[in-house]
Amino acid sequence: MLYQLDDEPRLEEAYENLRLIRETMDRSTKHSSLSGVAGLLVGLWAIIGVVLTRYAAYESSSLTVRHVHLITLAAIWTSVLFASVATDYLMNKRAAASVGKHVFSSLGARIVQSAAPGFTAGLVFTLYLLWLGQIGHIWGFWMLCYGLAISSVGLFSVKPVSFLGWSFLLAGAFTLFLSPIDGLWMMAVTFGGFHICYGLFTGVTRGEW
Amino acid sequence: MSRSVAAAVTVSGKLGLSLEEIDETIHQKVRLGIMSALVARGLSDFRFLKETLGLTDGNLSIHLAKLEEVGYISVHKEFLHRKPHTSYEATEEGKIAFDRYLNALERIVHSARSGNQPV
Repeated sequence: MLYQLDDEPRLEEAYENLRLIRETMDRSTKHSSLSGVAGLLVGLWAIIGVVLTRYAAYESSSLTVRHVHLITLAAIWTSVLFASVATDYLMNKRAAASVGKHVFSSLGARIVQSAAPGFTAGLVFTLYLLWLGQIGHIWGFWMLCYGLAISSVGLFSVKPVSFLGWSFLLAGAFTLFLSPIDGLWMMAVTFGGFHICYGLFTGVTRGEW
Repeated sequence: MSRSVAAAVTVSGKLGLSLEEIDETIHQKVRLGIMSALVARGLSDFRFLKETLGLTDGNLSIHLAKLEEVGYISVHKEFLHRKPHTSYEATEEGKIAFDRYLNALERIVHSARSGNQPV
């Protein structure tokens, strides 16, 4: 027997304090999970994606699957997603390096885990609407799923992240009732505008550029 | 020299672990959180600490004052956009105390696992 019952409170306290230290240090470096510059750039990629979609992927304003160049649409939004993830990763890496930490952490893993269901649901909805031939209605679903993912991430981050998530959820619910073309413009407002506002807010008020 | 109350804490009884001093200033949960954040992030302002640690203004102020009093953190005051802006940073003394405290915790855990007396 390594220790007896009477020693457990002290040992538990040591474990608890070590966990507190680790989580606080993780939270401190992951505080800017989306920094000011990252927010501005992610918003910019989304707006570019919307403009390209409107003028390169659609043949008319009805926006059913018959009027959409699906390969072009997939290429545009895959590129936007890749550019956004790469931007956030590089900015996080820079922030972590400034305090001598690695960009991957246990908290980072939990953030990815918590965001995964929302992104998976987004993928499922995309495939489902493709199957229905109604891909033009995807925008509201993307906002809802992204909002769900960001709200979950907000549990491990600062309040503005939760606020951002809920903003996407509400905007997504609203967008479901809009026409496909108006929904596309809402993409510019949300994925573009919301991220840019978040980036400016984070940079100006917190100095986390 | 810090005015911190460094109390000798004996890990109780039957383990017989007699560890070196545990710094009671850092041992307090809120102050431990503050030191962890400052050591990890470096210079941080009041608002960052408040949101990261989920504390009220009053509670955070009290513990920051205590850490400043013992010399574990330094305070930087400036005007940002014409508004007062206060930032905090762990001093070298504070970082050393934090490392020492962390080592003490790790020794408690290591000793319990190995059944050995801590060094």
